[in-house]
Amino acid sequence: MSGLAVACRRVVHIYRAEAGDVVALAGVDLSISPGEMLALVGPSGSGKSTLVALLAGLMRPSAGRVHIGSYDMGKLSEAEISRLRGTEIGVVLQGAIRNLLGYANLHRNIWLAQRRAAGTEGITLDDPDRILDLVGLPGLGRALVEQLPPGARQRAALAVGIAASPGLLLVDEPTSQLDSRGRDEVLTALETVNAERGTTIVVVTHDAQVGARLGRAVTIRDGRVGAEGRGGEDFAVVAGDGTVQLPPDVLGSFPPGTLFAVDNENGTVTLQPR
Amino acid sequence: MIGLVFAALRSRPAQALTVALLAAFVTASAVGVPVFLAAADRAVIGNEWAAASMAERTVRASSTVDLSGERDRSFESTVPARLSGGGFTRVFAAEADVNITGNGAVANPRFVFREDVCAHLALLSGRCPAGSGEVLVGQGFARLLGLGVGQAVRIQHAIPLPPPPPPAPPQAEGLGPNPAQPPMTVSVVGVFRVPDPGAAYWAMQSYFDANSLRNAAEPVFTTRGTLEALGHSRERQYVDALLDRSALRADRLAALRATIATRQGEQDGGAQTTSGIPALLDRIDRDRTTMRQVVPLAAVPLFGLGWFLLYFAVTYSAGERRGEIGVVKLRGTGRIRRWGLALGDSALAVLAGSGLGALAGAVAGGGQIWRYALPALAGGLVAVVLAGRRTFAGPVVDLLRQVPARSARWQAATVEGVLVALAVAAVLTLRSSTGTLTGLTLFAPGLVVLAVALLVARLVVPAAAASGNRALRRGRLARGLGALQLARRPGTARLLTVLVVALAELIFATGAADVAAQARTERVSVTLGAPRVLSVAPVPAAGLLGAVRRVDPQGRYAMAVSTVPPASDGDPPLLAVDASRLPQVASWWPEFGPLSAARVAARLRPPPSPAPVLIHGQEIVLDLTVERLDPAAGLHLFADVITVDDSFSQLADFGALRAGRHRYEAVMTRCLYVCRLTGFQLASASGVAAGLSLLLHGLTEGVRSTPLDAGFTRPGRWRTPQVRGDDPAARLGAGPDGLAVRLSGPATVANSRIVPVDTPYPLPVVSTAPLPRGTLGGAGLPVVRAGSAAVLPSLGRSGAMVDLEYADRMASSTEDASSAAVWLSASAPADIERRLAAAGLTVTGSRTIAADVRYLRGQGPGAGLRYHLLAGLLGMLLAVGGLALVAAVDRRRGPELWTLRAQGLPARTIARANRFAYATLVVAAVLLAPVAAAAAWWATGAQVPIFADGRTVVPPPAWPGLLPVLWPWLLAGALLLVAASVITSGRISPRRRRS
Repeated sequence: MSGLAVACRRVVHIYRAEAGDVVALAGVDLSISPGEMLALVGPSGSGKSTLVALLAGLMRPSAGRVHIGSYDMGKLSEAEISRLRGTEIGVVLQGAIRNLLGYANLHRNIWLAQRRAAGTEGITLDDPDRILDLVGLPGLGRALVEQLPPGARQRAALAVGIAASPGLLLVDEPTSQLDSRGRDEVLTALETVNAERGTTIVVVTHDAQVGARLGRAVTIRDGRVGAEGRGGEDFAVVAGDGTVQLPPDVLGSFPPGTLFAVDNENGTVTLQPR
Repeated sequence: MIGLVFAALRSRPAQALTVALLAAFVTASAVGVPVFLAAADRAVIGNEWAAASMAERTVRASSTVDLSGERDRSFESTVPARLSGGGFTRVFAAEADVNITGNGAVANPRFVFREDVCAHLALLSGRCPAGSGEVLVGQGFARLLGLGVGQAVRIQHAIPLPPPPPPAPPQAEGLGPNPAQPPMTVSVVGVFRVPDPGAAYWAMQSYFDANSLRNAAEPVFTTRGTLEALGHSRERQYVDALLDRSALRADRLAALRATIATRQGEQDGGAQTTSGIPALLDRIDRDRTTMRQVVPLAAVPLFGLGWFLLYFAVTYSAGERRGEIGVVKLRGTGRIRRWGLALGDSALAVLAGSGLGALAGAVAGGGQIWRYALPALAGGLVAVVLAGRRTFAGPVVDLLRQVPARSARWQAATVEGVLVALAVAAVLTLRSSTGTLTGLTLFAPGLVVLAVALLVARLVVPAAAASGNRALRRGRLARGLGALQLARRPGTARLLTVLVVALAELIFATGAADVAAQARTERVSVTLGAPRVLSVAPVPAAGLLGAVRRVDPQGRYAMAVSTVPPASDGDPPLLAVDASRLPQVASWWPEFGPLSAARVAARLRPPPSPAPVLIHGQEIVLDLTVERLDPAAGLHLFADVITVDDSFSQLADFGALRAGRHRYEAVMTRCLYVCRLTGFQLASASGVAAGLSLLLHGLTEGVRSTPLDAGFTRPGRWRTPQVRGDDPAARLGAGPDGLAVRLSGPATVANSRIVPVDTPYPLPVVSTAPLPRGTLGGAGLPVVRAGSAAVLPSLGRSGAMVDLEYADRMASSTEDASSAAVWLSASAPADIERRLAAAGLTVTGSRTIAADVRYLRGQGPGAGLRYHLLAGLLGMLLAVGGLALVAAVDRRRGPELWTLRAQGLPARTIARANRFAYATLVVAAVLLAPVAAAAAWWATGAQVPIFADGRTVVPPPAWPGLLPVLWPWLLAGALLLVAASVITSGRISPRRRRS
């Protein structure tokens, strides 16, 4: 299956709680092309995991629209979303072990993850061994997850995530518990999957280097897209409502309520504090 | 997929084992029900069989064959074959009465052919009769008539003697030789003794009962040919079909009843077929029915408890797998596979456990195993599914985050509400119906216990929270944290419910057992009448009375008792007791009413006690003046006397009356010792003339003319008896120096009678209800109600009691007392039977309160209540298992309080808090369980069957005694506390501590 495009338009998500509502996403605009690899970076509580959960259909946005390929996720029923997660959207949760049945070997884990797709017409599934090859775990089909080193566990989790040959792979913090070698192995595996299958990959990470390696890193800050880095260079992003977040280091010098004069000369925009 | 399920099973062996054990427990308990019922069926059948009378073990076909024409052999040719087989052993017998004289004595024994008789006799000498003209006689009979082996004896068919013509001659024996049949000479070939007159072989033929009519307590046995050779006009033929004990099986009862019904409908050869077996079958049916009413009362809560714990275990086990199932759901895996993965291991464990449980039942020998095992298995699977549904329902994101199921709270409240409503409905149904335990009402006690347990469990959680906060404010860390742990743990209310239900069921069971035990003892005490009752061989009432008074002259421990046969079916049963001994001997209960035994005795024998006119010689002389005598009437005056032991009575003739004052002498040949004068009466062949006047001046006895205190001059000493359908013709009045008797109208033998007043007149009786008329009993005893009682010993709620001595004097009959018995108090000497035998009584049976209570305990409800106790104990096992289960889960998770270690809370305080939490839970359950049990007993206790026949003579106690309930409660509470202590002493693994 080729990669799926992702489009978020003014996505808002509010958690309802007894102590008061919490706005997790406050109008996210984001477009991801088919086959693109992208990292969602940002501090804890910024909303990146919430955004991935919305992309995975685990939650519904409070407002705005999320499109995955041709699907408007807000309009799909639970059953349709469930089918999507079993066929076109692969999800790898944070913590490799959470993705796998500890008592079953890798073959059985992959086999189980393929069941929904296997029952769906038009999907050609790879052999579990082929999938393990893809993530760099050749010949480990009979291994249990607890017998693997941490990097291999994460790749085993990836194997389960891509078992149904999804067009979109959502991966939450795949490298957070790994050393640099393990991180490289995981990223290599992701790149291999992307290269061979054209799968669109969205990775949630704290690690700026992961973002740099994936080519495109979108920073989520206070529930919005705060910046975007491409090719090692950071950019501010104009949101759908016309707002632009200043980089945190810049913003630190100007308390809330600071007034700026905005000059636009020959395409160069200058902000002059008053 | 199956591989995955087995892999899941292997990964959590402890949880799977727990679930399997619980399933095995529930299934074994379920299949234990038919095992128990089968065993209890055998026990109740054995119990009823042991208590069954001979009639209740026998089918008897009888016919009287008229031999005046050609001998009709249809009865003996068809009936014996018909009554053979099918669990019956048949014995054919034929007999006639014969008259034998010898050694100066006359006897009229039964002349009997009985199949295979010699196998049931011990021959003291000689041999079994085989040829024609040979007979076998009993040792007593041989002694009476001076018979021995080889001796020839003449026998002749005997028939009832015709009634004596008036004036009555001395009373004769009831049987005499039949002059129409020739005598026959037979040869005595053997003398026998009966090893066991009560053996089944003798059926209810009463061959060996003493019978004054026959003057022989033993029959003469002979061959069929000899009996046929005897000249006799009528022959009684019997077929006794004896039921084999082995034929009385639970699975054959209906067939047996049908067989007997068929047999009773057949009348070949004029056969009359009777059997008491249907009555025995009725009792067994009642036993089995009531047992099956009681067993579910305990079985249902036990299964419920087992299923609930199973649900509990699977919920805990499943709770640990929520994240795992969340991932499976995340992959869009289909519902069937998801549920298979989620619950497959638990379901397999339930299947395996149930299989083991069923196997245990099959090994234990229960029938219909699958009828009970399959519902138990289904219940287990439903518990698994419900637990899974509760755990695995909800959005993927909740499963992944391990957020507790949101719907659980209101669902639990709904279920609890439904259960409480069901409990109320069950109790209302039970109370509004006839009290029969069927349908929903079978669940009533269990539902009430559960409802109360749920309600109190709901209160305990906020109470624990409040108590915890208070303790923390006061600086009691361990106590406060323990209480808060209780309040926070979601399983607290459930575990408390399990503990309360288990303990309450045990208390309910012990309470019900105690109430039943009390009720049985009270009923037996009342119906038996005294701590011990000896039945004695037929004897006249005065003989019984005299013998008992000789044995116990002080009246401290023995009392003669007999019944007075009713005149008609509607009459209350009348019990005659030697009332002066009533307070010392009879069991008396407050339920009898305000009259104590002593006051009842005083009512039955009001002072002064009139004395009888006793005659110590064989001759009496009456000084009598006769006026207005019709010389042509040929009037005779008779003295009516009876020996003081009622063995003989006699009308002694004073001879023909003459006008004027004369002395008349009468000889009483029967009065060898002491006789009682029961009256004077006139008789003549032509009737008694009206207008005759008699003046009785005095009475003397013996050759020395010793004056007798006949009281002729004492007012009220003499009276005229009531005669049914006829007014007394005699009018009594005081003469110048004696008793004046004037016959006012035509007089007969009956209405001319005058009697001495030696009893209160009418006889005072104490009864449970107003008397239907002024006379009671077949003898028409004139009675008056002198007191009332709600219940009377032996009689129960319906009957009347009269003094035996007065009733006997009033009846003045030589007939044997009906149902003669001797009541004994607990202080009766151990050798009382020997003493009574020495006094001339033959003890034929003994009943004690303990033995009768044992019989009642062996009936259906008793067996059911034993199951109740067993279920109570099993429930306690489950409760301990529940505690262990929760503690094990807590240990696996690590106590929540362990996180406070990082903030400096000492480990000792955490351990104490943990112990306090469990101990508090157990103590709360121990304290609340009696409340739940009491509520269940209050609501349903009266409907728990205690007696198979449902008859309550005195109301059973409303509540059990404190002590019988207290000690099981304390023991069970201690068991739970010890279990909690052992369980909480387990260490928490370092790995869990870290987590």
